[in-house]
Formats: sequence, structure tokens, C-alpha cells
Amino acid sequence: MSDETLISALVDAVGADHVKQDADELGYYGSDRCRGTWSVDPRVIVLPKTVEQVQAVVRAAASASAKIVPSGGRTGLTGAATATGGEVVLSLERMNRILSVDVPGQTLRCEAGATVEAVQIAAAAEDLLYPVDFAAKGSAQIGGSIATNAGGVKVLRYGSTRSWVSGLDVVTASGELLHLGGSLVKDNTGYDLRQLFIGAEGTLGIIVGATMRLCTPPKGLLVALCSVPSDAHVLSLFTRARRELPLQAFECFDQGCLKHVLEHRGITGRGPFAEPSPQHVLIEIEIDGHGDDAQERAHDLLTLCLADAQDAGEIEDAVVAATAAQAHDLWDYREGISESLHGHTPHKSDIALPISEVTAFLEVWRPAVAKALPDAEALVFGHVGDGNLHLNVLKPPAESAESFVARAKAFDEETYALVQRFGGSVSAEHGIGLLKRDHLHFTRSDGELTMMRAIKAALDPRGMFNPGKVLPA
Amino acid sequence: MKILVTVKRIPDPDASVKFANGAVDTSSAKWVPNEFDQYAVETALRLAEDAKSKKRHAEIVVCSVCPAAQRQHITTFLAMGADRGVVVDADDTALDSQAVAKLIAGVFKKEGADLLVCGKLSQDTEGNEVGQRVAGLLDLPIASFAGGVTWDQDGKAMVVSREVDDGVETKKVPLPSVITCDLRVVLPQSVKNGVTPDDYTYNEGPRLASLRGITMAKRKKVEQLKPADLDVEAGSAISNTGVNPPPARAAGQIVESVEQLVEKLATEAKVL
Repeated sequence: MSDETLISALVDAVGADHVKQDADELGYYGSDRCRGTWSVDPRVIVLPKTVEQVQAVVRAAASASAKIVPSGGRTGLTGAATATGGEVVLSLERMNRILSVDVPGQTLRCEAGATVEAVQIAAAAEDLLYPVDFAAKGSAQIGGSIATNAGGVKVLRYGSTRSWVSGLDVVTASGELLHLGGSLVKDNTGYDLRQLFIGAEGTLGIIVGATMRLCTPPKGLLVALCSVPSDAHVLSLFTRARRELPLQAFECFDQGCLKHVLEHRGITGRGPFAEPSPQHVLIEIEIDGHGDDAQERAHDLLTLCLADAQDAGEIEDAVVAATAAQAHDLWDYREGISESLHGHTPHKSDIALPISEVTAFLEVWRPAVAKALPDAEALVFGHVGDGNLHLNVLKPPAESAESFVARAKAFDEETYALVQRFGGSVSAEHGIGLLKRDHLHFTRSDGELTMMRAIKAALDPRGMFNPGKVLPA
Repeated sequence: MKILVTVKRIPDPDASVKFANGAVDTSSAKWVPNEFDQYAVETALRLAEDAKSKKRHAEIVVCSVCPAAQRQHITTFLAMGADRGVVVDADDTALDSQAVAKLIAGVFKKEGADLLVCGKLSQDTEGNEVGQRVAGLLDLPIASFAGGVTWDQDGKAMVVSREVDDGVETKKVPLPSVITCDLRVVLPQSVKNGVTPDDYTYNEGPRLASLRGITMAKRKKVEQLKPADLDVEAGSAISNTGVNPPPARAAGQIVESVEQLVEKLATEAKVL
């Protein structure tokens, strides 16, 4: 089938208004937030409105032997939603309806293109909570968040996206529509195919709809920020906090991160603490009831725990938010980090470790950076409660981006070998995409990779879906 | 030097208002400290402390008119750094501004305070009356809506810059006096006391309670008074004739195109 025939088949499938080939559109839809060394080269963008249209697009692409890159909000950080070799980009943004909320069953049905924030808002309208929460929620779509098993700041309490997927509607490589699960709580009927598509980054099929689990929101939250004397004390504080507090979040960021946030925000004061300290931990706990008494109980629980931690030398000082506005300000220190580092061309690694190895890993990693990249600033923040660290190495101001990226990439091998040594994962929550594909072997054994290739071959025999992502094409 | 600061608890302004029996229903409200009172306490702390050495040269007393069982907000302000508290045990929702002002004037006299610092208003009723009424009752000079305060220690006065319609007005109020605080008073260099170096920059906004502050707050003294102790008859001259929610708005429409929007503006909204 020629190019023209493919385009006309796509126009038949979704209508001429929703097949786009302008350079602007190709650039806009062609890649996610990760700009790698690869070229961005989509052939055409299609924007179906219905499941039937998605099926028609898949069949048209199959007859033309064309490849498809499924595209959500493109907020990913590994190039998984990037077209690099003349693929058809299938954007789900027009399939953005919230279909229903089942209040007694605490589930929500929606199309894949609904944003994570839209799902949260629809749940909140029924006094329910969709608890997966991350900074990009306003653009990120639920389908993409499932395909990448997105995590975020509440994984400690609620788990990743995978824990909240009750049912999936998936269009397969043959254009068939599969309904995998639904709103059943219990369903033990053989292989759970749904799990295969979660975190598969669009390489096995196209998620077109989902039934998400919801939960009852916490009655209230309390937030404290602690200054911590070392990386090692972060772990002992976590051990204490996890035992004594109803934790919602336990996030850390080092002094370098805080310095950049204060600079970026133009904050002239000293920040949250009079004295700088090497590490900081943000703790959020749940209030288990309504009214002043419950609030006071939670407050006492938190401050007693922190006072004990202070006596034990695990924290130097702490501040506790008295109002929602102050809680928001404390979260801002943590959530402002990525944006504050952006201008310094950070080289990022999103890694997971067994929680008990976090300190030991940093004790080796920090000196390793100092040795390999002595002129670069190394910063660590992350979701300690999940063993998930975001490692950042900043480009020295005088160096060119090309030269720095080359040096930093070479150092990646060292970082990931360390991660492997400590039994960790090269990608905690950002996925594999193009960026980490060649590092997958640090986390997955040969046996596992062989089985992953077999699954890919069984579900997508012609390699049509998202070629080159996760596994080599 | 003794600084009295008024503090109030209000229903969470971010929560939706509930109505019952022709009045606002606060039975299930979440109570939070009034934002402007946080500015007032921050102002008092900046006046009272040497930010470098942390030494205090003034005592800060926070005062609230509220049911004695609902005084958690006092602890919040003590944790910020106020020295002690006074609670006048009364149902503040049944009092008018004049009654509250009389009670606070009573506490001011009883304490022999030198300065009263209030938030310019409370976010629930937005009355903006109490500071002015206390000044009137006690015949004290007042500078309302302070955006900056400088303590003239030699002149025994406060120099207050206040934002008015046509710019910034600067007033010198000899002590004892009353100041009500506006937003800008918590900017990094808005308050100067002649002790903390003039170039010292605070964090913007009211300070957070530190762990030490929270632990100490539980040991700080909170005196409990009845209106009768202040020779004030607590009541209200205002009778409430009814409170109703605003009428619900009709749902909006999502249009498919600019043409449709123009047509609807012309035919349905009739604004074109």
C-alpha cells in the first residue's frame, strides 16, 4: 500500500479533519518530554474519537505495514511516546469522556484520553478519591498513565497506577477489541491479561478505555518538613515514622535541591530552616476522623514522633504546617525541584532500591559522581518511602550540552551497575521507552528478556505497536 | 513592653458553606486560624525579637473570644512564638462586633498592654470593625491596614505605612495604640524594630511552627476569663433576619465551533 492509500484509509477511518500532516502538528504530537539523541519523525497524526475508529486505524496501518505510536498526554520522560521512523501517531486526546462513576462500587469508567486530573475531579464530585497523583496530572492521560504504570507522590500509601486498574479495553494488533476485567472485585479466571498491558508502554496493544478503582478520601492531612543531618538519618527516620504514623507521603530532598528551589523562586529569606542541613524530609500523615479532636490527636502523634526523632538525633529541626496554605507551601519545596533544575540541563536517573539499601547506595554513589564528574553538582531527591530516588547531575555552566551529555551517559553505566549491585531497578516509575532500553539488562535477566520478547511476538507478531520501545525493534 | 494580639478561629474558608434554619450552619465546620491574625502574630513577633540573637524585648499575649473548649487555634499561635494566651469564654458567633471589641478592650486594660495588633478583618464575616472599635472605646490612636511597621523605640511610637486609595500613607502613632495588619506586612522587610538589623530579610509570610515551638506551646499559660470578669455584658444588638445561599447557576454549555458560539451569544444570551 502506498503512502497515499494509507492516508486515504486513515481519512476514511477518522475523517479528514482528524488526520494531520502539517510540520507543526507532526512536531507537537511526535514526541514526549524526553528529547534524546534520536530524530523525531512521525509520518502522520490521527485523532480518533471512538473505539471503532481506533480499530479502523489499526486495520488500515496493518494493511499498509505501517507502525503505530500510541500517544497520550506525552508527559513521559523516556521517549516512549516518540515517533522516530515514520510511524502513524495515534493520539487519544479526543477520546476524553468520563463515562460513569459507580459510587457504591467505588469505580470510574472513562475513555483513555481523559486526563488524570479529570478523573480526580470526577471522583471528587462524588466524594471519592482517585489517589494516583503526580505533577503532570493536568496533561497526562489515564491511558498513558496505565501504559506507563505511573507512580507519583502517594505510592507509599496507595501504590502505583497498577493497583487502581480494575478493567481495561484494549485494541489488539489484529484490530480486535478486548474487554479485560471490569468492575469485579474478585475474578479468578486464568491468566490476568490486563496486567500485561499495564506498564507495557503501548508495545502490546492500544488502551482505549479503563475502569479505575477509587477510594474514600482521607478526612484530613497534616504536613511537616524536617531538616535531617545526613542521608543515613533519612532511613532511620523513615523506620520510626512508618512504625508510628499513618503515613501518606515520605519524601526527601537534599540541600542542593532546596538551594535551587529557593534561587529559582527568588526567595530571599532563609527558606524553611535557619540553618542549612544536608537532607530534608517531608512527611504527610492522614487524620483519621472529623473535628478538632481528631485534628489534635493527629497533631500530637506527629509532634511526639518528631520530638522523639529529634532526641534520637535523626532530625535537627522540624516545622509543622498549621493551615492548608502552609501545607501547600511545604509541598512546594518538594514539587518545585524538577522545574528549578530544568535550566541547569540536569542528567536524570529514576531508580528504585530496596528501601533498606537507600543509604548504602548513596554512600557509594555520591563519591562515585565526585570522582567521575568532579565539576558537576550531584543532587538527590525522591520518594524514599518507596525506595525511589531521582538522581540528578547538573551540567557545569561553562560546558557545552553535547560534551556534558556524553560524559553523563558514560557515567550512567556506572550508576546502573551500582543499582544492579544493590538489587535495584533502572527505572522506578518513568518506564523504559527509548532512553533506558539498552540499560534494561541491568534489572532484567536474560531469561526474563527472552520471555518478554516471546510475549511481544505473541501479541504483536508484526511489531506494529510502538517499535523500539522497551525492547529493540 | 507588652503586645496584645487578637486571634480568631474561623470555619475553613476553602470549604463550601452549609446553610440550616436560615443561618450559616457551622456544626460540622473545620475550624482554622484566621489568616490576617497570623499576619498580626508575625508582626508582633518581628517587633518583639532580635532576629539574630533570638532574644525578646517585649511580651506577646494572644487573646481570643471563643468557647473555651475550642481554643486549639491559641496553641497554634503559641507554637509560632507568642508567650501566653487569654481566652474569653463566650460563643463568639452570638456576639456582634461591639461586644467583641468591649471584651478585647477589657483584656487590654486588664493586661495593661502597650500595643494592640489585630488582623484587618476575619475572613468569615469580613467585618473590619474590631480594631477600630477597640481604639474608639479606649480612646487610643489607631493605624489600620498596616503594610509596614517601624518601632521608634526612643519616641515610644510606631511608624506605620498604610495603603490607601491614592498611595501609601505614613502615620506615627504614639504608644499605647492599635495597629491592624494588611497583607504586605509579612513581606521580608516590612517590620523593623531598631534591634534586628534593618537589612535582615525574613521569609515571606507568617512563620511556621517549629518543633520546639510546638513542644513549648503545650507548657505555655492560657488564662481563661468570663465576660463578667471584664464587666462586659456579652450579647448582640443585631438581629438576624435570614441568610440564604445564592441561587444556583445553570450549567454552562460547551459549543463545537466559533460560529455556534457567535450564534448562541446572539440568539440565547442576546449580548451581540
